[in-house]
Formats: sequence, structure tokens, C-alpha cells
Amino acid sequence: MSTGEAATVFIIDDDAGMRESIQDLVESVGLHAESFANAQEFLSSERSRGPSCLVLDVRLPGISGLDLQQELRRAGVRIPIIFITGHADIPMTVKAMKSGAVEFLTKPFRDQDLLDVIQRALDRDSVAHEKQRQLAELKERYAALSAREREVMGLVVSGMLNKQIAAELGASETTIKIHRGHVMQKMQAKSLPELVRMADKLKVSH
Amino acid sequence: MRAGAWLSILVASSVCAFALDPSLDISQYAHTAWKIREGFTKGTIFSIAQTPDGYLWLGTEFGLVRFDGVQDIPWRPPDGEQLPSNWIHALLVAHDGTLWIATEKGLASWKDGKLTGYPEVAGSVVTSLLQDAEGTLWFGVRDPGRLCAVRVAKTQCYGAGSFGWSVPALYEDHKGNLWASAQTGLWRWAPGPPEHYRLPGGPVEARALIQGDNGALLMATGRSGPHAGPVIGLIDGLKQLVGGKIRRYALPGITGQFKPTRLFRSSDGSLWVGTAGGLLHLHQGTIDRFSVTDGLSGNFIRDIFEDREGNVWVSTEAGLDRFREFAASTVSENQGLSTSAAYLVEATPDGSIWTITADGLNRLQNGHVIVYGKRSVPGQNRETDERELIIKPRTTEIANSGLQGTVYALGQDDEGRLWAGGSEGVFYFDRGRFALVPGVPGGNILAIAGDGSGKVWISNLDYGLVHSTPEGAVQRIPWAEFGHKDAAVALLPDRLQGGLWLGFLNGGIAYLKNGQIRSSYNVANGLGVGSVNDLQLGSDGAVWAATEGGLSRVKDGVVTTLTSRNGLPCDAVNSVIEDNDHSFWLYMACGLVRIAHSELDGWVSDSKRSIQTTVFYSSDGVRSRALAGGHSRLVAKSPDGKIWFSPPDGVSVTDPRHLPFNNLPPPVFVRQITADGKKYDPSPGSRLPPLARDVWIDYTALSFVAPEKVRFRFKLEGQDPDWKEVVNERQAQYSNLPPRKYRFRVTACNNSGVWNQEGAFLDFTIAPAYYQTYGFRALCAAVVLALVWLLLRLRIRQVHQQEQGFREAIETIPAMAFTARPDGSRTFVNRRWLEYTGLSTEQAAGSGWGAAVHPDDLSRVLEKWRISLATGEPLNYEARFRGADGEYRWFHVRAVPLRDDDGKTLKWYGVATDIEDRKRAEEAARRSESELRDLIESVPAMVFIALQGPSNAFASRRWREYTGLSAEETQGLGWQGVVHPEDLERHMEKWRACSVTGEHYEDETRFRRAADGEYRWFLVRAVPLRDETGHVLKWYGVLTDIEERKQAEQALQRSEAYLLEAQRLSHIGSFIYNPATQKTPYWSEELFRIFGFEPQQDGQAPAEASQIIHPEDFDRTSTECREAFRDKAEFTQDFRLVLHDGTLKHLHVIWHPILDKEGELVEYVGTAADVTERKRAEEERERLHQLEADLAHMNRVTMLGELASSLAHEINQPIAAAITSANACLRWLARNPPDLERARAAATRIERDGGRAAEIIQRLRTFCKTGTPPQRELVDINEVVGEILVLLRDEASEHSISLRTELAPQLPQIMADRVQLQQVLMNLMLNGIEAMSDGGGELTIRSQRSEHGYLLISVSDTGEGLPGEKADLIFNAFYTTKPQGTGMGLAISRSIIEAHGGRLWATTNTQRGATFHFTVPAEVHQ
Repeated sequence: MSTGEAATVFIIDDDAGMRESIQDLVESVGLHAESFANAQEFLSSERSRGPSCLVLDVRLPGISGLDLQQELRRAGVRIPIIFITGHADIPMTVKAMKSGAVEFLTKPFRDQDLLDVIQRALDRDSVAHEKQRQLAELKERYAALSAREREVMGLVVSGMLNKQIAAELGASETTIKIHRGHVMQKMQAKSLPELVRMADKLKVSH
Repeated sequence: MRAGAWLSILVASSVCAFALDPSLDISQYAHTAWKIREGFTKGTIFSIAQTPDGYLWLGTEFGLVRFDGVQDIPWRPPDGEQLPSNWIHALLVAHDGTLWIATEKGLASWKDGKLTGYPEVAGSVVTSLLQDAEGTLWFGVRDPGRLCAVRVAKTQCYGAGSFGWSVPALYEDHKGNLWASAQTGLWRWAPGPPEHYRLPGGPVEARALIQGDNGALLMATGRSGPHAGPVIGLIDGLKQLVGGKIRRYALPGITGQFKPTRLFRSSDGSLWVGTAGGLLHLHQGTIDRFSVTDGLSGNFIRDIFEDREGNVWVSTEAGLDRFREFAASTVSENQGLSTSAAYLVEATPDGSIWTITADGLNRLQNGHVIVYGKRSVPGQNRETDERELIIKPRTTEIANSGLQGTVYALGQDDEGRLWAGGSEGVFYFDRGRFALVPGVPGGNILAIAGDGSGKVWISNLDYGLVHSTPEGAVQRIPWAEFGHKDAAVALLPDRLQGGLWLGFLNGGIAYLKNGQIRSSYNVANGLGVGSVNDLQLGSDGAVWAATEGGLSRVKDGVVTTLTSRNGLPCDAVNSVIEDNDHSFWLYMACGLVRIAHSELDGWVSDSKRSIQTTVFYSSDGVRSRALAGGHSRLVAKSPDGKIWFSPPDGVSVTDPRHLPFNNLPPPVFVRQITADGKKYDPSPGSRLPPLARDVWIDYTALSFVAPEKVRFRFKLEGQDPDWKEVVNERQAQYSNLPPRKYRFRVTACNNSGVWNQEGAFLDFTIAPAYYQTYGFRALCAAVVLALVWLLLRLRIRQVHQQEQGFREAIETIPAMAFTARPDGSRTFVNRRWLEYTGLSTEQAAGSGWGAAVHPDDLSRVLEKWRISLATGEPLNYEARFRGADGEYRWFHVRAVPLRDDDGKTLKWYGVATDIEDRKRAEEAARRSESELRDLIESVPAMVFIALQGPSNAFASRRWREYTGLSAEETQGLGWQGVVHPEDLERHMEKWRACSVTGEHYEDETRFRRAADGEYRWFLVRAVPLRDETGHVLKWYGVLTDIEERKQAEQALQRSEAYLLEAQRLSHIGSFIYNPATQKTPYWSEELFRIFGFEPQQDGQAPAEASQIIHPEDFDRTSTECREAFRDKAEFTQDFRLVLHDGTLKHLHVIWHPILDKEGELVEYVGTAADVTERKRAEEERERLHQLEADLAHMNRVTMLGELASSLAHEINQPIAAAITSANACLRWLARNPPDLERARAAATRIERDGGRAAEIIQRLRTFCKTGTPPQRELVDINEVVGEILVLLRDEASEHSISLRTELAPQLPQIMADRVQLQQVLMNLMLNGIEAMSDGGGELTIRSQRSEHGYLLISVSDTGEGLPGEKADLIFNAFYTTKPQGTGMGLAISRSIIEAHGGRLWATTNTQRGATFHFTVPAEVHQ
């Protein structure tokens, strides 16, 4: 939880009793929890940017749990999901797990099992968050490059020598050297291999 | 339903008379491919069109190509003109026949030899073409995208800027909407203001548009933009426009992404989707594919087109493909056969087709294949053995069906059950399994056949002929007893005579009856040589044998054989069958051969005659077998009349009543003329140089179904004496043609033999050389003329000599003959004439002959002559001529004129015949008839004399007075006017009949009385008068007035008919019984019918009537009768009848005594009513009452079963919540310090959840109560709704359905059975949930007050809605739309509500779904 943002456990279950008891259980170990009666409520709510996970009932009125999972995937929201259900069949479980669910729990479940899974999901999400944050930073740096510098960076990471880059772009070798220096500086890369790794993450290629 | 209507409109509106059979897969069509790599055209064909002259035009990247099915000829514009670009993007033939050409650099059109350009769009890429219903031509232009229209004066373009880069597709739907696809999305351009629809999913554009089966617009989409290559990405696929939104259009069975390029609907209604990976074909709910691996020229489909003959053409990046229908289609592995190598075919009456493959017996049924495998081992677990394995989408395999070993022969028994014989024995198929026939040895079984007496004959190579029933073998005859070393390969039971025909492997047939060979035939008797492969019984009772040496016919001991000498295409016949139209089908080594009924009849009556046959070769989809191979069943006829046969690669079928026939005569063209290597245009009057040695004329005919079968007839008039006929040869060659004008005529017929009647011709001239001038020919002509003149002179002399001879003959003949000039004056009279009249030749000449005519007759004779001379009509009269002795005798004179070619009379020729004797006899007859007539006139009766049947000659005075007709009016057919119009035809018909047979005439007819205009009935009788040879001379007839009798008859008939009808309608018969004589003088017709007897004329009770009284009722009935008869009492009785056919009837009989004045019993009059129906109805009502009660309980139990799993979940829910809360509670308590507040809250929830679980169980218990009688109590309806909601909440959320209630507060209570109300609500709500189970939705339950003190409760869903016209049916018992439903739910609900005094009905919602309403009367508040 290096970002310092508080972790949140979202709970969606249409059964009020179930919803309240899970929220209470999560809060009893000192985690923050928010609960919703259906998927629409969850989708229209303001959500914090910190690490989070979703405890999701499979059967829901309106959008079902599995549909919500697909919806979130399509929208690019990568929140770890823990499914809970009254009775699970194998195809349902397989579908949910294939789509990236963290765990599939059958009601009634052991409290410790749920809490363990929630912890694992939050850990996983905070790592993802960290990666996301680093990538965002890299993108910010890359955005600061001029069009010419980007061209040069693309050619540099493809392994070309300054002389070759100069011929390719129709510029003098000196100009290329200066551009190259700016690129290393702006991207905060200490070495060529590090720049290549950055380009890889940014999917910059030539 | 809507989709179906759509399709039928589409199919009906297609004008083309030809179409493919939509039930077939692409791979079942005849396919031909032309490949660019093999020299066909030069580059990719982007578009195909057909102009009205019949040519197929191909637009390629190297220009336009014309194609006649054989040769592709590059098209060149007229000299000095050119297309904007040779890269053709699209072609279109407009309604007026104009060919529109869309190119890389602009638009052009071609009509009547004129090429037109469109400068407004010169230089731009034209991508698409469309002509709308009004005839306006639209086209799409690229960079920037514009939509343009060609109008009369100029070309106008629209939408620059709003279409983005390009407009790749245009389409007009069936409602007249003009659609344009653009880079910016889909536009509905006209009519009205343009509407725009965005395509979801990134830079996408529609490449092709078409209306789908359901009427929605379909589009083939792909990546848009200038460099859109054939990249398969997420954005490709079919999409459709529904409700203003563009959505993905999924094809059943097609998973993953594919890139559609073209959409096309053929006239059979199928949808063809061209993709970057081959063809997809959507037809009758199924999809099949065809790609390079199946033989397609290439995988990237560029265009799809259907020509006038119904051929479908597909162009790909690598060539051109044609698909057409075969006369016979083949079912192979592609269509579900377990392997394509199959042999034998058998058709059972249930419509199944059976064939044998290496891995088992295959059964084709409704497009599906069931394989009865042989790989199984007996004795395994039956349950798993019989499990059906779906191995291919169209194939099911039954692992252990009871069939063992390899099957060699198939046959049928009399019940139409399939028998299969092979290595492990003989089996028959019954109720889905094969049963072994005990005691019948297996081995090399050759044939099996049922014989119509319940038994089956089996031919076994090693064992002999076995006669068997399903229970086992009954008889065995070794082959040696037939005098044969070989075995019978064909068996034919002769159902007419009861014997069995056998056809032997090494030749010969034998007839076996009652265990003895009655007759046998072989080659020496005229039978075809070699193996007898098949036997069939013809409809005329003849036996037909398919032999290696022809088709033999055996009838009444005479054998005749049809061979290639009589017109068969070859000799080896594998199998023979007769179709429903009595045509014969022979499966032969050289194809499938059809012999028409009439042809065969002709051959039967004269076995030397040659016959015409229709032969289906491989180009018709028929593969033949060289040898029958010892199998007798290579053809079969299914119950629908189709002929099935067994080629080596599947099972083929042809429908004799739907053979594809091309009735479009092919257009014919003379393409060019070549003289000594130099080409000349085929313009009329082409002039070729003198002394042209070799002249070649190229011609063609445009039929694309099978160009190789096109036949041509051609003739060079003046050179060829007769027409020459060639097949698919498209060039004629002539050498050393003399100089003159020529006309070359050519015509052609298509693959079905339909000729173009007009054909084509070309006039050309070969110029003469200097010595080939006319001077020389004129000289020759002069010499010939001189010769002819000499010959003519000789001929005239001969004619003169002949005339002299004729004159001598006339002089000596024994008749009076003469000739006269056109003015009548005699030029010649013969010797007889002169001898009779005693006149000299000079006296008779001119008009002198008149002196011999009786003075009284002369003026009449001269008048006759005058008329004939004026009109030229032949002359004909009778007159007295004076003989040389002064006596006059009667003569009959005839004369005819001789005319020249112009019709002018040249001469009269005449003869006079002596008729004196005849005249005298006539006079005598006339006198005696006159006397008779006077007599008749004075007789007071209506008498007539007729000549030939109805033609009257005389009617007596009484008759004339009655009818008011004059004597003249009664002559001939004048009397018809007084006959009643209804009687006339019958009356005349009888006359015609009697005139022919000469029988006495008798008829009753109405004639009109003149006095009052009334028609009265008469009996007309006439007898013929004959001469001594028996020839009828005339008829004498009398008419008798029978009006009174007729009226009495009719009155009686009417009253009898009324009584009969009344009895029949009421099922009441009547009778009279005399106890004293024990006789029944009268039994009504209906009574016979009630007792099940044939009505009898005498109307007396049948003797066995009392025998069919039910034995249990007989004694009682007899006693009742005896006692009543004794007391002379009126009485009734009820008893039953058992009819001879076993029918049971209930009778109610009333007996009424008739007493005389003294009170003595005369007889009983009685009626007997058939009350069976009434009795049955009473019993039925009782039974239904019980059934209804049973079903109501069953329904409730069924619903509980359905609910069980979700109820388990429902109870699980509060328990899980309670456990979780308990854990949380413990954790709060375990904290340091313990959080007692939170712990208490958790404990409170545990208690609440526990209570919830208990509540659910309580509700369930009340609902489950069974057997309790209905108990009415005061019920709060909202409370009942709440109870059911608890039970169904989970079921609803499983299907993503939200439950909503709108319950009116403080409703009055109702007096009702709580459990029954729960049942109704649960039924309605489960129905609603069911209706929405696929896509979720909302279920709303409302309660409210209604009029007249009723409560109204309604349950609304947002599901499918009511099934349209079936809305009324849903309340019927056993009507269900659910796969597992009993169909009782709604019926029971309705009867419950009606028992409560309410009403239950359903309505369709305005938006979506349906609402069920019911009312119940509210209890009035005290």
C-alpha cells in the first residue's frame, strides 16, 4: 500500500442480511467496506482510486454478477473479484475463473477463508496499482519529448548507431547526439538498456 | 414467423424461372472453376454482369472481358474511344440494358455500340453502382466520398464532407430506402432527409449491404481507410441495424472472427456471404461453407452473381466459379454419411433411406444420419451401449443396436420393417433395435425379400434359399435343387400369383411356386446374357430382369430383351425400377437411364423397335458402377416418389417429377469471319476478296448451364445442302467457295435441348474473278432453253393420241353419256343415247336433245340447266325421256363441269340413268301411307311418326290440338319447343340411344299444353318399323297423359324422404311388431343402420337382429316384452347392442300398442333411439371431473419439484448470513477491548436471519399441504402476494429478474382458499419468470380495487409476450409452450379463480411482455 490510499472492499449482494453481515465481518478486521444491493448502484457510485476488491454475488437482479464481470473487463476496470454464491455449478465457476476472478466461495463460507481471499486480492491490486502508477509516470515523461526526440528514441532503442540515425533522418551526427542526450535526460534513463526497457513498457518501437 | 413471411415474399418476387434447390449444400451443386493461373482472363475479376444479349461481362483489373461459357474475349471499345481506366471496380446492367462501368478513374456507360463518359467525375475512383426502383442511377465516389446520381441533363454529387473518405456500398431495400455506406457510418439517404447511424467499434465501414431474412439491414463490415488491407481484426464481421442501432449479427455455428466481403441473395432465397476465407451459404436455417479446400478457385470472394439461367457465379482473387444444380444430388460424408464409400440402398415406408458403409448401417432420415455401428461387442452394459453419440452435427451413432458383423444385403418384410443379413446372421429392425432371426444362418447373404404372406425369403450363397419369419427359419432349399451351382442374387416375390422369381449370379431366372420350379428361362429363351442383377415386377404383371446383357421382359412365357441394338446406351443393367409415372429407370454401367412409359409400351408391342432414352451422365451428377458386384439393391424408390441409387461414393437421389430443365433458348451470335487468315467484322454484307481459299466462321451461343452440351446447327445457304449439327464446336470452315452472295445460318440449343428458333445469320459476298462472269452462264442457259422447247413439242403430240382412245371407250359403255359446251349446247352424245331416243347425232346436237324430254318436264329441266350454267354447280335432276318406241321412262341425269386453272368452265360431262322402276315403287308407297295417315288422324289418341329417332314426320290431330302446333311446326324437331326444358336433354339422349340400338323407346316427359301453358307429364312410347334387312325405317309412337299418377308418386316420395331424413338426424328408427305372428312388417332404414345391417328392400327385421342384443341384457329385455305384450301395455326399455364389428351401442326403445275397436291388440308401433353418444358424454364428464382434481394436485407437486433447488438456496441465504454475523460477532468480542455495541448489532442480525429462515419453511409447509379439502376463510390478498414473493425471490434473481410490487393498501379481505390462491399466484409468477428467463427483466405484481366490489390482481412481465394468434389457447388444458410444462398450470388457475367467482385473463403489454389479470369478489366489510 505504498500509495497511501486506503484500501476498500466493495460488496454487492441483493440479500440485505448477507450484505450487512459481510460488511460487518470485513470491518471487524479493520478494513474499509462499502456495500450495494445491485450492480447498477455500484457502477453509478463514486469510487476511490486506491487498491480495492469486489465481493460479488453471482445472482443479482438486473445485471448478474458474471455480466458485471464482463462489463468491467470491457470498460477496462481491472478490479479483483471474489464471487460468492448460494450454489455454484462447475461451468459457472470455470467461466468466472477464466475471466480472472480471484476466488469462488460458496455460502455459507468460513469467515477466515473470505478474509484471506480479500487480503490476497487487495495485495494483488496494490501491485497492479503500483505498476499502473509507474507506467503513468513514464507516459508523462514520454509526453514531454518533442516529435523529433521521439523519432530519435525509436531509432536508438532499435539498436542504430548515431551515424545511421543521422543518415536515416537526414541530419548531422552532432544534432543526433544532442537529441539523444535530451532523450536520456527527459526519460531519466541512466543507461541504454534502461531506455530500451522503458520503450518496451511504453510499446514504443520503430 | 416474420422471417418466414419475408423469405416467401423474396422467393415469390423473383421472376427467374430457374433457381438452385435451397435444401442442398454448396458441395452438392455442380461446381466448375476457371483459374487465372491456368490462363483464364488476365487479372482478378472484381465484378460480374449479364447484358440482355446474354453475354456475361467480367470487370477485371486489366479491363472488360466478355464470356460465353467457353472463351473469354477481351472487349475493346470502338476505334478512337476508350474507358476512363482499365481497372474496373463495379459493373451494373440497368433496366434499359445499359452496361454501367465503374473504373479507377471515372464512370462510363455502354449501350447500342455507344460508349458515354461522365466528365463530372473524371479522374475519381468510382466504387459502387446502384439503380433505384425509379430508374435513377446512383454511384459512390472516393476521396472525398460522395454519392452521385446520373440525371437526364447532368450528373449531380452530394455529401462531400459528410461521407469521409469513401462510399464503398449502396443498397436499396424493399421499402424503397436508399442506403449508403460511408467511412463515417451508415446513411439512410432517401427518401426524406438523410439519417446517420454510427458503426460501433472504431474505424469501420460496411463493404456490402443486404436485407436479412428478418427484414433487418445486414452489413459486411471491415476496417475502413485508405490502406485497409484484408486484415482480420476484431472489427470485422456481420452487423445488423435493429431498432436504430447497429449490432453484431451472429451466425449460428460460426465462431471466431471472419471478414465478410460480399452479401448476395440467390433467387432460391439463400443468403451467400463471401468472405476473405471462402463462401458461407445460409439456407433453410443451416449454414455450410465452401473454400479452396473444397475446390473453390480462391478464398477471397470479390463478387457473387446469378445469371438468367439460375447459375450462381462467384469471382475470387484467383478466378471464377460456377454453381448449378445437378439432376441427381449426392449425400456423402459432408452431409453426415459415416463414410462416403457406401453400397446398396433401401427405402422403408417411414421415409428412411438405408445404406451400408464400412463402419455400419447408415439410415438417412429428415436430413439426419443414424449409424448403427458394428464395432460393439455383445454383452456389455446395455445402458451405456445404447447411448447415442453425436459424432458430427448431422450424424448420430448408436453404439450397440443389436446388429452384429458385416451386413451384405438389405430387404423388407411385409410390414415394411428393414431386414439386414450378413456375416453374423439375419436381423430385422423393430422399435429402434435389431433383433436376430433365430435359426437363419449368416454368411454371404445375397438378397432378402418379403413375399406378401408374412414370410421372408433369404438367398444365402453357401446355404441355399431360406424361407423365414421373424421367429426363425421354416424351410431351406439347397441351390442344387434348382439345377444351379451358383446362387440367386435377385429375389422377386410375385404377389399376384404367389410364387417367387429368382435371378441367378451366373445367368438365368426361375419361377418357384409351392416348393416346385414351375418355369425357368435362360439365354436360349432370349434372356439377356450374364448375371441377373435385379428383378422387378412391372405394373402390367410382367417380370423385368436387369442382366449384364440388357433388360429382359418375361410375360406369359415369352422373353424379349432390350439391348443397345434397340437404343439402350449400353448393355449392362445393374438395377431397374419403375417410378410413379410408370417410367423405367435403369442404373447402368453407362449412367442412369430413364425410359418413358410410352417408349417402353411401344417396344413391348413391337420388340424390333428402337426406343428413345434419357441418359444422365457424370455431368448430371450421376456416377455409375461398372459392375453390380452381386448386389441386387442398387436403386430404391422412397415413399415420396424419388429414385435413390447407390454410386460408389455416397447415396444419390433424383426426383423424376422435378428434373432440372432449362427452357431458356440460348441467344446465338456470329462472332467473326476469317478469310485466308484475315479477320472481318460480321457486319451485314461483308465482302471477301476473290478466290478466298479458306473461310472460317466463328459463332457462339450463350447458355451457361453446360456450354459443353450446347448443340449447333449451321448451313451455308447455296453451299451446304443440309444443316450440319455439332456439339460445342463453335467454328465452321469452308474451302474454295465460288464467288457469289452467301448467307450463313446458325442456331443452337441449350443443355436441355431447347432450340433457339430464330438463330442468327450472316450475309457475305465473295467477289468473282474475271473468268467467273455472267456472260458464260447466259450462253449455257440459251442452250438449255432450246432443248426444253423440243421436248415440249413431242409431248403435245402424245396427248392428242391419248384423247382418241378415251372417246372410243365412252362410245361403247352401256350408259347414256353426253358432253356439252359451257352454254349447254350438246357437242357429243354417245351411241346408247342415240339408240334409246332414236334420234340421229345431228338431231341431238346443239339444243336439239330437248325433243326427247317429256313436255311436262322440259321447262323444269331447262331451268335447271340455266341455273347450273350460270353458277357452274354440278347438275342433278330427274325427268322423263321418250324412247324410240314412244314410251316415256324416268331418267336421273347428272352432269359436272370441267374447269381450267382459272376456274372457267371448259366443258360439261353428263350421264343419264334409267330410274323408271324405282319411281313406280315410290308412287305405290306414297299412296298406302296417305291412307294410313287418314286413319290415324281420326283416332282419338296422340300419335306420331318419326323418321330417324327424334325427327318427327307426322303428329296426329289430338297432339296438334294439345300443343297448339301446326302440322308444319311438328315436322322435324319443331316439337322440342313444347318439351319442359329440364326434360329435353334426357328425352333427346334416349332418342339417340334408341336410334343406335333400335330398342323400343319409352320415356316420361312433360309437354306444354297450349290451352293454359301448363306442363303435364306424358308417357312417350315408340316402336321402330324395320325393313326386311332389319334396318329401321321409321318410328310409330303414342303419348299417354300420366300427370295425375306422377303427382301422386311425387307426394309419396317426398313424405318418405322427410321421415327418412328426420330418423337419420335424430338416430331414431321406427318399426311395427305383431306379437301374434311374431313378425315385423316394417323396419325403418335408420333402424337397420343403428343395428349395423345393410338396409333391405322388404323392410323386414333381419333374423339375427335379436342375436346382437348384449347377452347381459337379453333375458331382461325378453321378459319385459313378454309381460308387456300380455298386458297390451305401452312401455319403454333400455338395452345395449354389440354390433358385428364389436361396436357397443345403447338403445332406448318405446313400444306403443295399437288396439282395435274391441280393445284387442293389433300390433305394436315402436321407436328405437341410439343414445350411445349421450351415455358416453355422461361417462366422459364424470371421468374429466376426476382427472381435473388429480391434475390440480399434480400441478402443485410439479411446481414444488421445480422450486426445490431454488428454495434450498433461499433458506441457505439467511443461514449463511447468520453464520457470517456470528463470526463477526465473535471477532468484535475478541477485540481488545471488546466492541460490545457492534457485537450486539451482529447478534440482533443473527436472530433476524434465523427468523427469516423459519418463516420460509413455514410458508412452504402451508403450500405443500395436500389432500385438504378447499377451505374458505377470510384472506388478505396482499399477505398472500407477500408469501409467494418470499418463495420466488431467489428464482427471480437467478434469472436476473427484479420483482416489484404495487399493492394498494387497506384492501378489503376476500373469502377464499388460501392455498389455492397461492397456487394461482405462484403459477402466474413462475410463468412470468419463465418468459424472461433468457434476458432478465422486471416482474410487477399489482393489487387494486375494481368495479362492483371486486379486487383486481395483475402480474406483468417484460418477456416474450403472448404467442400471437395462440393467445386464446394458453388457457386450454395441455397447451404449453414450455419444453417441460404439463400444460395444466393456466387451465387449473382459471378453474380455481372461476370457482371463487372471479375471472382470469391475459393481455399483451403495449411495450413488452404480457400481463395476467384476475379478479376475486371482495368480502363486504361489516
